Amino acid sequence: MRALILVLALAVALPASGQVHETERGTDNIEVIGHIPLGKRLTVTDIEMEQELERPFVYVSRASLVDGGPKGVDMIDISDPGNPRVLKRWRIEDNDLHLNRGGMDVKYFKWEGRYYIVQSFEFSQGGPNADLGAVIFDVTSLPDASGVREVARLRHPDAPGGFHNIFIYKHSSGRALLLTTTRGGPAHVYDLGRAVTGDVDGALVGTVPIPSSAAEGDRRTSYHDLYAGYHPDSGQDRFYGGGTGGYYVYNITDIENPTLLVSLMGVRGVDWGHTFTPSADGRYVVAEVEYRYAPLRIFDLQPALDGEVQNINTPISAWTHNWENLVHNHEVRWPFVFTAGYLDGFAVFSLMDPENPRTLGYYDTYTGPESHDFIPYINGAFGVDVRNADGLIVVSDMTTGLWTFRMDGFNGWNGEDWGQPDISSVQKWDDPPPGTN
Amino acid sequence: MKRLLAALLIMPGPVVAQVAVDQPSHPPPPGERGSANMHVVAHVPLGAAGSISDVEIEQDLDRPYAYVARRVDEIGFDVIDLSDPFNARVIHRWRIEDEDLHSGGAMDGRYFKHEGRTYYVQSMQLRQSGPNSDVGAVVFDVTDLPERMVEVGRIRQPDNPGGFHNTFLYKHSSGKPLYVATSGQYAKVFDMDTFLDGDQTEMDPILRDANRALVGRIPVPQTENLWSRGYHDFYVGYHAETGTDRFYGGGGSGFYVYDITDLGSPELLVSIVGVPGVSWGHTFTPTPDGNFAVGETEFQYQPLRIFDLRPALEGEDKNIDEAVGVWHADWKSLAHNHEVRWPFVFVSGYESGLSVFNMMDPTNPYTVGYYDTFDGVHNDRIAAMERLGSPYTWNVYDGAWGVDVRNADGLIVVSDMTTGFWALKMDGFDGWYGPDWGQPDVSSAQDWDRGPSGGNQ
Repeated sequence: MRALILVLALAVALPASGQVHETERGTDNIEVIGHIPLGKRLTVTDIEMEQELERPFVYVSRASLVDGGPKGVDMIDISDPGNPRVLKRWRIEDNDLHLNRGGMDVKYFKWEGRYYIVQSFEFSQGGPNADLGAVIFDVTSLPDASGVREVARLRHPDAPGGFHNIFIYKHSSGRALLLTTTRGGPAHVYDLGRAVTGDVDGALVGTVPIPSSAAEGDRRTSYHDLYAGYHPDSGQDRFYGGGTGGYYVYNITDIENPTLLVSLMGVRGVDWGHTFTPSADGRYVVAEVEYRYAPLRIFDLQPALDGEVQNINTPISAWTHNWENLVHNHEVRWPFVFTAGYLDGFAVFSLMDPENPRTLGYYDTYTGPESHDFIPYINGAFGVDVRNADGLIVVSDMTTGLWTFRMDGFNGWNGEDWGQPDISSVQKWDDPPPGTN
Repeated sequence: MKRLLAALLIMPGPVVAQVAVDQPSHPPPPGERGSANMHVVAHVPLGAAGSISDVEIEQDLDRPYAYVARRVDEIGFDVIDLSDPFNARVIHRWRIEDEDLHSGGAMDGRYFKHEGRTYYVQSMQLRQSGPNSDVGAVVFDVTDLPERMVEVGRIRQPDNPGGFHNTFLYKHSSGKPLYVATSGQYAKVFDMDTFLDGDQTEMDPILRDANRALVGRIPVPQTENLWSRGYHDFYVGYHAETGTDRFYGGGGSGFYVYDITDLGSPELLVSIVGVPGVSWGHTFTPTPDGNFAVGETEFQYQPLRIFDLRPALEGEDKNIDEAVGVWHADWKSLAHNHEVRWPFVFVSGYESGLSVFNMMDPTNPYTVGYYDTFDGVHNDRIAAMERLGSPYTWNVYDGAWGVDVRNADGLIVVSDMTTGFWALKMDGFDGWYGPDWGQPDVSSAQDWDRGPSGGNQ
């Protein structure tokens, strides 16, 4: 009888499923290679990894999102991915005098045999450098950190507040172009070749507008995030931006005269576009909107690219790791999409069937609570990057720091292996410009 | 089995402890169309796919009738007799005259009792390409069901053609039966006593029906960048603590709560705008005490949000811009209408069918039961358009449209756009009476005989 009572008591005590789960932090196909905490919570933002195996360096932006913290960039050696090592912690001068966040997005480029990074900044008025958008560093000397030197600062005094996101693109003209968001108004386009050779004032060579139809009433317009990619079928350089009203694709082959190709406005639940990344062939796009419970939406641009319509307002599918949270930045390596999902950490899904995206693996880089002193759902995995040469994955976590991963069966990426153009966020700095042979 | 269910139907008793259940994603495994605690009492297919809209059930057990609105090619409503719930049957099918000339359909149906008679009000949305686009609702005397029902009049709004999308019938603290309807930029309030009263036969029909009974108009606060200038849906409930009549509307750019005790001067109490992801309010239903409200926005991937109204009601800030809790049956789908019987919320979730969640902790609602009344293909836009024949059919807008609950015995009824009428029972839910849960006895079910305060004003 006692045994029966014990069994009944246990049956009542167990959860509905009848199983007790230990924390399943990751899937078996995701291997943690290395991890290095970087400091105080909520001070880590975006991440960039150089693509050449002989230059095993990662750059992590640092910002103060709550009550004080570093504002700059950490340069990290991953020659042994299992033991990442910080080589240099660059901080803005008079760190504590600067208001607002600090370093947000970071990208690298190669120009005339030297390697550079561009670190974007967001500072607000009331402190120094409110007009500062980005600082350019020559990092050729790495791993010798003593040789890293600041080369230039890009300022935008007409719209202080800095650059939230940036992208560096090797244009079909051969120029290295920096695309930046601004605080109100169009995206800026800087010629980095000019910037690093002393012509900072002449570096701004173009802007990409947000269509006027996005500005209802007195609504200010701006981009939140951007990407550019070469489109082989048309021979065009294409800009993909998310911002006021939705998402936009422009032809920026003639950078002085960008032409709107596609708009994605009137999408239900999307008032303001965030991260927006195309597939290698430019047909599909992965689109994020930055509020809780919003999934990543997948759009098929083909009807617009074929001229049937110019605006698309319905996704063909959506994906989320956890609908109660929010997925942030992502990197597309068709058919895989690598995501930094804030509270849920890192996850990978497949777009092989774009109408039915499927989760392939994950690892929760952040197991802490929601932020009670910041936007609750914004903590954890902020940025992600992928090294095409060997498939190494890096994630920047706002609280837990830098992580390096490998995914079973993903040992590198070349678009042609998947029947796609070899196009991703990775630029081929040593190759002829896209579209030339 | 039927005997067991019959026993469940009539058995009073305590509510059993609820445990969270996971509603499976579509398609469910064989035999798992519903949770183990949910039992189908009746299912009556009604006709062509896409021809079914909302549902209403009368609350008196001795009047076992449900009404299902019909649209597209079958414009009208069906009356279903539930006197033998296991053998539910259609006893009347009312269709508008010259049906083929009309374009649109019947949408929301509500019943009320007045001076010993029972009436059913069927809202209509008819396009200007056909007749009767000024008709908002058709009123029937259904007292003599199951034998017959008689049309007693039509509420017209020629200034705002297109009809009434959603409606609500409320026994106001003044004692009046009020019919609230979406129309133009307002929720218009009609006094059904006035509508029914008097010699109407010698009046011009338009003058007679248009505004004679119109006694109030509740506005949408007009601000910049409104997604919609009107309301989509609403609820009216008595607020026992303050002794006021309160209107809860979704539309504009979110949700709004008004004090409508004085129908001539509605007073805005709370607005819920600026909520990320909510550009437009849809269905909006408070808890019996009016402290929390469940808000729906009619976009795929949007969960139901639970808002705590107290900070605004207590005067700290009239606007609320974040939810304290959310619930989803399936994040790829969309929950539609819902009925609150604290702590339970009964949801007609389009392609997810019927779900029930518990919001005893409003910050952590959890599913306690479900039954997939639709069981069709999800997110198949092409198939949905072919089947429903409408360019305005998005790929999630099929399946369970409406839900209602009979408080006397806990019978749940669902109207499914494609599969028809359903009646279900949930284990442990044998009826609802607010004080049993420490709440006012306030829900969408009106006390037509005694009024909103139960005669204790």
